[in-house]
This record gives sequence, structure tokens and C-alpha cells, in this order.
Amino acid sequence: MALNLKDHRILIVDDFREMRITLRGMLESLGARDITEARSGEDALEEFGRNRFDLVLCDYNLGKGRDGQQVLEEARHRGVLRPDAIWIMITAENTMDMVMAVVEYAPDSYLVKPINKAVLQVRLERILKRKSAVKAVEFAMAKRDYDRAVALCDDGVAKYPEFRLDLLKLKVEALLARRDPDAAAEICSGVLGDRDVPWALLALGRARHQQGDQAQALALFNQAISQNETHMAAYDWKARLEREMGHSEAAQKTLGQAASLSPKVIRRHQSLADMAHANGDYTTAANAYRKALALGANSCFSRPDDAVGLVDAVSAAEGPEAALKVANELSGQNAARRVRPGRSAQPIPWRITLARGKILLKKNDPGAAEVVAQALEGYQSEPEGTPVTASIDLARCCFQAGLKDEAHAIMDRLVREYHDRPDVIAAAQNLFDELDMKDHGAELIAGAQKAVVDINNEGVRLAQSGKLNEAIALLTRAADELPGNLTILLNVSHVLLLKLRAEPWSNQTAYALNGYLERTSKIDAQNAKLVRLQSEFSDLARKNGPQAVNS
Amino acid sequence: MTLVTDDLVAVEFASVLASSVHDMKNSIGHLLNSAEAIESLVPDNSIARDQVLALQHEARRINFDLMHLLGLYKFERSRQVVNPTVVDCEEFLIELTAYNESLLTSRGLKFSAECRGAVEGFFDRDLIMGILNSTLNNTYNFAESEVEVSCETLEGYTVFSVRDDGPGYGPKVLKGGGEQMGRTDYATGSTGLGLYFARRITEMHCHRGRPGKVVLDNEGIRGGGRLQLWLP
Repeated sequence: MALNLKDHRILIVDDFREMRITLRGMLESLGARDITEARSGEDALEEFGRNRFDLVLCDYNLGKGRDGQQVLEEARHRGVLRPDAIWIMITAENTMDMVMAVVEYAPDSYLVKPINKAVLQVRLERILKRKSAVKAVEFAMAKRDYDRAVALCDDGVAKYPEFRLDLLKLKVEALLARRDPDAAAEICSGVLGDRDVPWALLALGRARHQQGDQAQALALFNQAISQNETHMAAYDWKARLEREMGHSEAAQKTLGQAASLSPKVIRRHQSLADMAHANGDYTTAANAYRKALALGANSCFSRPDDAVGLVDAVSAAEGPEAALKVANELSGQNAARRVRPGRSAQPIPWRITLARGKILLKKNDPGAAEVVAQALEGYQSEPEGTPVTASIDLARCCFQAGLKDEAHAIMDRLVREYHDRPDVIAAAQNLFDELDMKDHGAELIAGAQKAVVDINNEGVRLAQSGKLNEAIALLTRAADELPGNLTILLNVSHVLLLKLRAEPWSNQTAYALNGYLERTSKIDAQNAKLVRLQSEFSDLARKNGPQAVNS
Repeated sequence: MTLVTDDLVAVEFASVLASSVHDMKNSIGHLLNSAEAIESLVPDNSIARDQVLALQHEARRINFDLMHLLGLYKFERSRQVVNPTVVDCEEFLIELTAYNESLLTSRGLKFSAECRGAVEGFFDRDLIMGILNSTLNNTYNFAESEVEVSCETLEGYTVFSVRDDGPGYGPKVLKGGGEQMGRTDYATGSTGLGLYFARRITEMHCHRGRPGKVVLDNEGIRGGGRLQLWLP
């Protein structure tokens, strides 16, 4: 197969001009004509906003700012990377941290410097061949059309025997996403009969987990780790399982090991911090929040929770004075940070303000109420998406600062948003108990829960009596006000699906439905009802919908 | 200037050396790229071409030496990791050929790479590729007319063999090669470091209780040297 890159849109990301010239020369000698260069991760992300690239060659080490892994992570997260785009990471001598980070975010390939043209060529030929074998499957997976992905894998194995393992791996992913652990386990066992292939071992553990066999799953995750102590996904699954089993100290330990083995992955530091925080190990929590904050400067996964958590943890570990100092520093940093040149400074997230207010309240500082009121204003301008703990913290501070009505409104909203989540309801009741308002709280909670149940019932009743549009209007309004409410999201999706089925195909309805399914999947991707709705929607779209709807 | 205690110097030297080696590797990388770019410009069968190829060979040699040095540094700090994946050996040999063929044939050596049967290996692709590339780059100096690489499955191991028709390994190397190192043989320029690196890395490949190994003998072409990597 003669390699010709003339129809490929290519992006080269490297901070050294020398290297960009070399790579450009190599690619041009392979026929490339459409080459864009970026000299930093930030430039690269801007280029992604302008163009859809088929092939990206990205140096891992980009000097200041984001590194190659963070660029890849963010490009994927923002959805600006086509599922069939090829990403080749270029690395200098492989230090462990770097290899770990790169391997975790699985680019299509990585090349170790010095780059040799002949090697680049055979590598590209191979990747393009592999892509043609798995491309259709990856598109189906991206659309969450798992039935189709499975069927495509079966076709592929016959057609491309050399990529059998890649296809089997994808098939197992699709089966697990479809919650078909028996079929997934069978494939994994087959692969493991020949060799201890790491992904198969991990996937078998996940299948056992879905089958409800926690002990067996844990044994398999441990085996995966003991065979390859850098198998990071195995640590994540192990920690998740330990948490589910109520072994929160063990889960913290597992996350701690993983975070120190692969210290560049922000989300693991965040999980570790949250876990340690919940376990009352404030020193570990503070350290992990600090690391998350440092990595967050260049990551799309930075979150206010890290700053807030740090203040909390320091307050618990070292006392209010130290925490106040941290809070003031964080406010200062945040005010100084600019997103991009030309844009104004980001507002200080209200949660950092609240963290300050909380400490001032504890110190009986006369300025406390004013700071809490500032935080409240921030919350009120956009209550959607506020995490549960933040809502409860804010309500507590409002009560303490004498803002009773405001506190009630916050709690009412919280309970309505999560009316079917026993853990949230218990946390809400706890706050009222703590403030000696037990009965009052129970009343508020019952009232708020009933309000949502009524809306849901009314929606279902309207739908059953054929008034689909009225049901949709009611439920959509509720879903927009309470974006975290799983029941409402599932119901609005269900009714939209009914409408799509009952009436001639409408792109608009399909688009709306797709949006609600996406939102639901962000809350609970494994939800059985969601998986069923997704599969029915994919079926319907394949039969009736134009291709455009799906992309 | 202030005096520094011996202790402090000893601690820092390794790190300073390691970061210098990184820097040198970068430079060698640019140098290699330039040499490659020039190679495509000079006519075949010219003296200039021979010179450019000799330059490439030596630059590669330095690159591999630096790779081994860094490896040594990582062994000492237990930071060397092996990350095995399933490797299609046919494809692996294609890449190996792409890297080595032009340089070896330009010196008039016949080069071949053969995968005997459809072999699927399970090893750290980059590290093993590095070891084989380094070995092949050495045959540039020693082989008479022929170099051959093969891959096959033997006793449950994936075995790579590099054979040439040179003078073969000397008795000293055959006896204890790679187990001790540090003494430079100025006649061959060998420090033994490459072999040591190969042994350490191969041994780190352990599968179901069986470690990998390096076998050296003179079962090469017409009694030339043969290096084998046995990967479980």
C-alpha cells in the first residue's frame, strides 16, 4: 500500500521551530499538502476550533502551558476531535510519568524521538489500516449504538483477522456498555486462555462486577495490578469497587497508589482528595487538592471543588487561621488569572467566597454575614448545576447568618432536584437535625418531594392520554429548572421517544431527545432504563432517520 | 567558590548527568534528522553519500549509548518500567526493517528480516525495538556481507535472532557478557553497557513465572555472531 497523505488535514504541534520544519518535511515527502502548525497547546486548541483534522502529530513536551496529554484530553472532552482522527504523540526519552500519562489517554500511537522518516511512514500505514478496520465501530460507539458496534466487530474480525484483538476489545467495551456481562466475560475468558492480556483481565473483572460478583471482580482487579503494576485503569476500578463495598479506607489507599504512580492525571487527585476528605484524613485531602489545583491551571477538568475542598481540609487540619490564609490566596489567584489575552478576568467562583464566609462564621467575625450574602448572590445568579454539598454548605451558612428564607429556598430546590436520591435526602435531613429543626425539615422535604412527584405523575398521565406535546412542555420545563433530576430526564426522554415513534420522523424531536439522553448519561451512564431508551432510539434512527441526525 | 562536600557531589552527579544525557539525546535527534534530510539530497554512489551514512551510523550509536545510560540511571532508581502489549511481530519487523535497511545495505550488507509463522508477541514494543536497533547498528561494523533478523515461537517464547557473518563474539563476551560491565574494550569500543541493558530489560519481561533471557553464541551465518532475545 503506497502511503499518500495528500487528502489529509494535518496538524503539527511542537514548540520548537526546528522540529516543526523536520516533521513538515517528512510529511510533505509522503504527499501531504494541507499542514497546519501550532507552537503551543493553546494554539493547537484554537486550531481545533477552526478545523477538523484527520491527523495530529503532537509533541508531548510543549514547554509552558498545556502538555500534549492535556491537549489530547481537552480536544476529546470538547468533542472537537473526530472519532476517526489519528493522534500520534511524539515523546523524548520515555520518563515514567510521561509514559503513564500518555498510555492512559491512549493516542493512536506514540513515537519516541528521534523520529525517523521511514519509521513514521510504516507506522502511519499501519495506523491507517487499523483505522479502516475499526473506524465504523468507533463511530457507532461514539453514537452509543452498541448493538451496531457489536455487529460491526463481528464483521470486522472476519474481514481483518490481523486486527482481531483490537476488534474484540472494542466488542467487549460495547457489550459492557450494553450491560451484557455474560457475553463480555466469555470473550475475555477466550482471550485469557492464550495470554494474560491486561485489558481482557480488567474487562473480565468489570463483567463480574456487572454480574454482581464483587469478590471475584476484586480478585481480578488485584490480579491485573499484580501482573502489571502500572495498569492504571485497574486501580480506578478497584477503588470504585472498594468504595461500593463500603471499604472507603482501602479505596483511598488504592487511589493514593495510583496517584503517585501516575501523578499527571488530575481526575485521580480529585477522587483521592474527595475520598480522603470524606474519610476525615484532612492532610492527605489537602495535599491532593493542592496537586489538583496545580494541574488544573492547564486542564479542562479543573473545578471549584478543589479550591473549596482545600480550604475545608486546611481548616480541619490546621485551623481557621491557616484556612483563611489559603482562601484569601485562592481568591487572589483567581482574580488574577485570565482565560485568554483580551478577555476579562474570571469572576471569583462564589464557592470560594463561601469557603471564606464559613471560616469567618466560625470565628464569629462581624463581616461574616456580608461575605455569605455575596456567595448567595453568586449562587442565585445560576443555581443550576450546583453540587449537593455546596448547596448544603450554603444553606447552613445562610441559616447561621440569619438568612432563613434564602436558606429554605436553597434546600427546597435541592430536594426537588434530587427528590429520588436517598443519600441527598438524608444529607438534607441531617442539616435540619444539626440545626435543631428536625420536624420543620421533614415537612419541607416531604413538600418538595411531593411537588416533583406530582409533576412526573402529571407528565405520565398526559402522555398516556395521548397529549404528548403537553407532557413534553411540562417535563421539559421541569428538566430545565432541575437539570440534575434523573427521573424527570428519563421521563422527558421517554415521552420524546413516544412522540418520535407516533409521528412522522422529525429531526427537531430527534435532536432534542438526543440532547436529553446525553444529559442523562452524564448523570448515570449505566442506568438500565437509559440504556434501553438509547438502544430504542438508535434502532428508530437507523430505520427512519436521515444520517444527519446522528452525527 | 564554596566548597562542596563529597556526599553532595555524589548525590547530584547522577541527576545532572541524566539531564545532560537528555539534552544530548535531543541534539543527536536534530543531528540525525539533518543527516537524513541531507541523505535524500546527495547522489547515490558518491563519496558524500558514504560520509553522510557514516555520520548517521555514528550518530545512532551515540543515541543508543545515551539510551543505555539513561536506562542504567533508571534501573538504579527502580524507575525503569516495562509496559508489555500484544505486538504483531510481522508488523514489528517491517518497522525494524524501515529503520535499518538503508543504512546496512548502503554499506554493501545484505539485509533480511523474516517472521517465521504468524507470531504474536507480548512485550514492550519500544524497548525491544531499541535493543534490536542498537544491535543491528553494531553489525554495521562487524558483519562481512550479510545480516539477518528473524522472529519465531520456540518453547512458548517469542524469539528474536540477529545473525551476521562477522568474526563472532569473543570468548570473554560469550562467557560473561552483560553480567558485568563498565570495563571498556577499546579495540571494539564496547563498554558492555548495551548488552547489560538488553539483559536487564529482557529479564524484566516475566510471564507466568518465566523471565525472558538473552542468548549469545556464534551460531550466526558461517560462524558469525548471533544474539537472541527470548521473550516469554
